[in-house]
This record gives sequence, C-alpha cells and structure tokens, in this order.
Amino acid sequence: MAHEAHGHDSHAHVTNTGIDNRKLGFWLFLSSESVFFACLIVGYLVYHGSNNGGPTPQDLFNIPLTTISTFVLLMSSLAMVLGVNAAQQGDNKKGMLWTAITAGMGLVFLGFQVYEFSHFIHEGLTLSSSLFGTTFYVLTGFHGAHVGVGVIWLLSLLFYGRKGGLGADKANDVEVAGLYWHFVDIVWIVLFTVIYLVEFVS
Amino acid sequence: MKPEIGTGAQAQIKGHAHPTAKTFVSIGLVLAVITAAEFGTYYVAGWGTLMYITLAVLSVVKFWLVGSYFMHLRYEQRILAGIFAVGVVLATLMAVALKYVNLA
Repeated sequence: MAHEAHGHDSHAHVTNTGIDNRKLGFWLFLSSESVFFACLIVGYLVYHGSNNGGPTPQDLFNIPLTTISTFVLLMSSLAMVLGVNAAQQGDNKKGMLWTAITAGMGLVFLGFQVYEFSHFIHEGLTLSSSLFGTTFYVLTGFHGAHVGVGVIWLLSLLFYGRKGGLGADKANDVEVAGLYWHFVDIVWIVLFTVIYLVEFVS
Repeated sequence: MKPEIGTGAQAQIKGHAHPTAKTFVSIGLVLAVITAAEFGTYYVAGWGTLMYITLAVLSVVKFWLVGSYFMHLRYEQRILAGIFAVGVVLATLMAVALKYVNLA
C-alpha cells in the first residue's frame, strides 16, 4: 500500500518496496521498452542486406558525422545527470541550467538525424525503396521520436520550474525524466555499434 | 572506479551513498574516450572477428557505465536493476534467436 513519503518531495509516494512508485513504474516501462527496441533491431539485422538494387549501408553511412552526433547525445546524458544531481542538492538554478543544456543537445542530435535522413533520401533510400530502407528508418526514426519526446518532456520541466527553479522539491520529477533520457542514450549506444560501426568491419 | 560519496539532501534522506558531480564528469570523460576508440576502429582493417568482439565489449562497457552511474542503478535498491535486467536479457535473447531464425 502506498503512503505519503517523509522527505524532500511532498508528492512522492513509496511502495512497500521503499521505492517511489513513479520510479518503480518507470523502470518497468523502460524494461518493456528494451524489448520494443530489440524487435526493431532484429528487423534491421535480418533485412539490412535487402537493398533492392538501391544504395547499401556502406554507400550511405558517414561514420565521422554519426560519431559526432553520438558524442553529443552522450554528453547530453552527462548534462542530464548533473541536472538531476543539482536538483537533488537543492541547487535550483543549476537544475534549470543543466536541464536546458540537455534539451539543447537533444535538439542538436535531432538536427543531425534530420540532415542524415534528408541526405539518404536524396541518395535514393526511402521508407519504401527497400527492406533496408524500411527497417533503417523505422528503427532510427523511433529512436529519434523518443529523443523528441524527451526534449518536450525536458522543456515542460523547464516551464514547470520557471518561477522557483528545479530544486529539491522537484527532484523526483527531474530524476524520472533523467531515467528516460539516459535510456534513450543507452539505446543509441547499441544502435551506433549494431547499425553503423559493425557495417564497416572487414 | 570507486565513486565519491556526497552529503546532499537526497543522500541523507535515503540514507545511502550518493555520487558527486565530480564522479559524473569522470564517467562522462571515460564515455567520450570509449566513443573515440570506437571511431578509431573505423580506420582499422583486418581484425575480423576480433573487431566484432572489441566493438561489443566497448558498447557493453558504455551501456554499463550509463546504467550504473547515470541511471544510479549502482546506488539504488537491487530490485530496480533486476527489473531492467529482465527486459535487457529478454531483448538480447530475442535478438540473438530471431537473427538466426530461417525466414525462408
């Protein structure tokens, strides 16, 4: 049975595990998300060789560019954890600042993805041109959509904290948003290797 | 890597170890170095299977660092790591099984 927690966050409820129910529920969600992305990854791995006479992954992928976007997303994860840490320490201004930096880096990552997609479409790889195109766009597109949702979530947090900042009273809200953001980063860590780097192993 | 322990409000309330910003920055630097190493593999030829293993290890290390430190699994109750592990193990087994299924 849930009951009111005694602590920094008057909105926090703990389960009989002693864990905030939002955090517990969110970890269950992230666990199911792992299986969701695994399905998409399998689809890509099975069909990425079916290019239907169109461009192949080796023809299209730009590893230096993707490495930069990967670096941006990784560093956004660092900014996010610093934001969570600041909020937990009661540093309202730094909580806001790091959350804003995270959202900004998320937008930069999305910019890289938009550039990549438009370049690939220009080269002849579309959602319907081949099974490689379908599985690639669905997989990376769903990841990008997750980043987009994360950016909206972070912006809403900034709006939520526009007057008092993001401090100890909102630390649990920032932490749950942070869990989502780190998960999106973890998924990209896997995708960067499975989709891009492995393609060029000779 | 031994985490530094802070004395923030959250740590005091929960009564368990809590890492400092310095720990997170150190982890971020390690992640950046690993990403640079992954980029370096793009220019290496002739490693074959060893390269697949290298890339897999580097990816797993990054995954573990983000999960353990940034997502705080190292400092939280083990049930949370268990919940996440169930999903990740299921996902991995499914990916391996379906990758090698005969779709013909």
